Amino acid sequence: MAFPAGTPTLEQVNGLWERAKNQIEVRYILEAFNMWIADQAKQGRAVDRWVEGIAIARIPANYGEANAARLKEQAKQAATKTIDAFEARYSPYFDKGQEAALGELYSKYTGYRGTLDQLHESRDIKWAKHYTDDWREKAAEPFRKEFMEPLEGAITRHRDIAKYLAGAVSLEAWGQVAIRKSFAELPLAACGGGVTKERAEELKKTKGALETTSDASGIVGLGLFAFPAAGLIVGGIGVVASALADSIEPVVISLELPDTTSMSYTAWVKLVHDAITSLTDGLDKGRDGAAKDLRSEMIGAIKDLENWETLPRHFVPGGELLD
Amino acid sequence: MKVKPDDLEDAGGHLKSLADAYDDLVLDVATSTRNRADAFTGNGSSKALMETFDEAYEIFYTFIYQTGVNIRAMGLTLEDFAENHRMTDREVERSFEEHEEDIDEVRKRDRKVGPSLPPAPERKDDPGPYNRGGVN
Repeated sequence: MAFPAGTPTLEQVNGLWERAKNQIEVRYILEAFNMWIADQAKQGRAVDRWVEGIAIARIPANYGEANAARLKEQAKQAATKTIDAFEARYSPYFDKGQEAALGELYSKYTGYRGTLDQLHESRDIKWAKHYTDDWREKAAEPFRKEFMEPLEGAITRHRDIAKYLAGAVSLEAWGQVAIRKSFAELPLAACGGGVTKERAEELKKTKGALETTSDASGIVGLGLFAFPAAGLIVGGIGVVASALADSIEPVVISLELPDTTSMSYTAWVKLVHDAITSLTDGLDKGRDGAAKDLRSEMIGAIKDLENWETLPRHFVPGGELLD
Repeated sequence: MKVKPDDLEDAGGHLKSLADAYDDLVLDVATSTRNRADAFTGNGSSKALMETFDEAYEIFYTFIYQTGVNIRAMGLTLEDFAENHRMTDREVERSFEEHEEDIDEVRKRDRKVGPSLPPAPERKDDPGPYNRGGVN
C-alpha cells in the first residue's frame, strides 16, 4: 500500500507556503503601516494619502524610501521566520518512515488473509474432511464436532481478524492522508481571503496555477492557487479499506477559517498556528473515533477469545461458534 | 467399523501438513509487528488505533497459534487411531474418550515449530518473535 496518488508531500506544502510568502510580507507591511499611521495621528500628523514607492510599491506619504526599504527587508525576514515556524509544526506529519511502515504492515496483513484463503481451499483440508466424512460411529461424533467442524469456520474467522488488523493500518493511513491533505489546504484557506467550507470544496475541484492579482493600490496579493489534488482518500488503499468502509467512518479532518482579509499580521499568524493545532487535534479525534468503530466490529472475535479461554484446550479457538 | 485405518492415517497426515502451514504463518506473524510503533505513532498523540491493532493482534496470534497446535494434535491422534484398527464399537468409543484426554499431552509433546506460548503484550517490541519458551 502506498498512499494514494496525489497525496500532498512535504515539498508541495512547503511550496504552497513559499508561494504565499509575498502575501505574508504584504500583511506584515500593512500592519506596520497601520501602526506608523496611528503613531503619526497621535502626534497630530494626519496621513491622508499614499504615494508610489520603489522598495514597496505604495507607501504612506512622508514615510520615506529608506524606511520602506528597511520595512521590506523586515517583512521578508518575518515571512521566512513565520513559514519556518509553520513548517516546524506540520513537517512531522509527512514522515516517509511512517508511510513505509504502514505500507509494510498493510501488505503483511492482507498477505495473511491471502494465506488463510489458500488454506481454506487447500488440498489438506479437503482431504482431511473427505477422509472423515464417512465416520458414522456414534462414538466418533463428539470428536468430529470438536475437531472437524470448526476447521473451516476457524479459518474464516482468522481471516476476519487479519482484516481487522489490516483495517487498523488502513484507518491510520487514512488519517495520515487526511492530515496531509488538510495541511495542503491550509495555505489556501489562510491566504485566500476567507474560505468557507463550501468554497473550499469548490476550490478543491479547481485546477490551476498560482495566480497573483494586483489591486488598484499596487499591492500584490494571492488570488487563487491550486493545491495538489489528493483525490479520494480511500483511493489506492485497497480491499480491506473497502470492506470496512460500509461500517466504519474513516478519519475525517475538517478545517474552517474565518475571512482573513483584514486580519492583522499578528492575529493572522496566531490563526494559522491555531489552525495547525486544530488539524492535529482532528487527527487524534479521528483516530479515536475510527478505533472505537473498529473495536465494535471486532466484538465477535473478542468474545470468541474470552469464550475459548473457558473451554477445554483441544477446541480450536474462534471456531466453535461458527458454522 | 466404517472408518478405515488407512483413511485415518491419511487424514492425520493432511492435518499435520495443515498444522505446518499454520506454524509457518505463526512464525511470520510473530515478527510482523516490529514496525508497528513507526506505523502508528509517527505523529499526533492518540494511540487509539495502535491499541486496537494490538488487541486484534493478540486475538489473531493466539487463535492461529492454538489452531496450529490443535490441528497437529488431532492429526497425531488420528494416526494413533489407525494403529488400533481392529476395535469393536465399544472399544472405539472408549478409545475416543481416552484419546481426547491424550490430546493435551500430544499438543505439548509434539509441537514441531513455532513459539511455545501465545504472545505477551509486553513483548511486542522485542526484536525477535514471541518465543517465551523456545522452539521445541
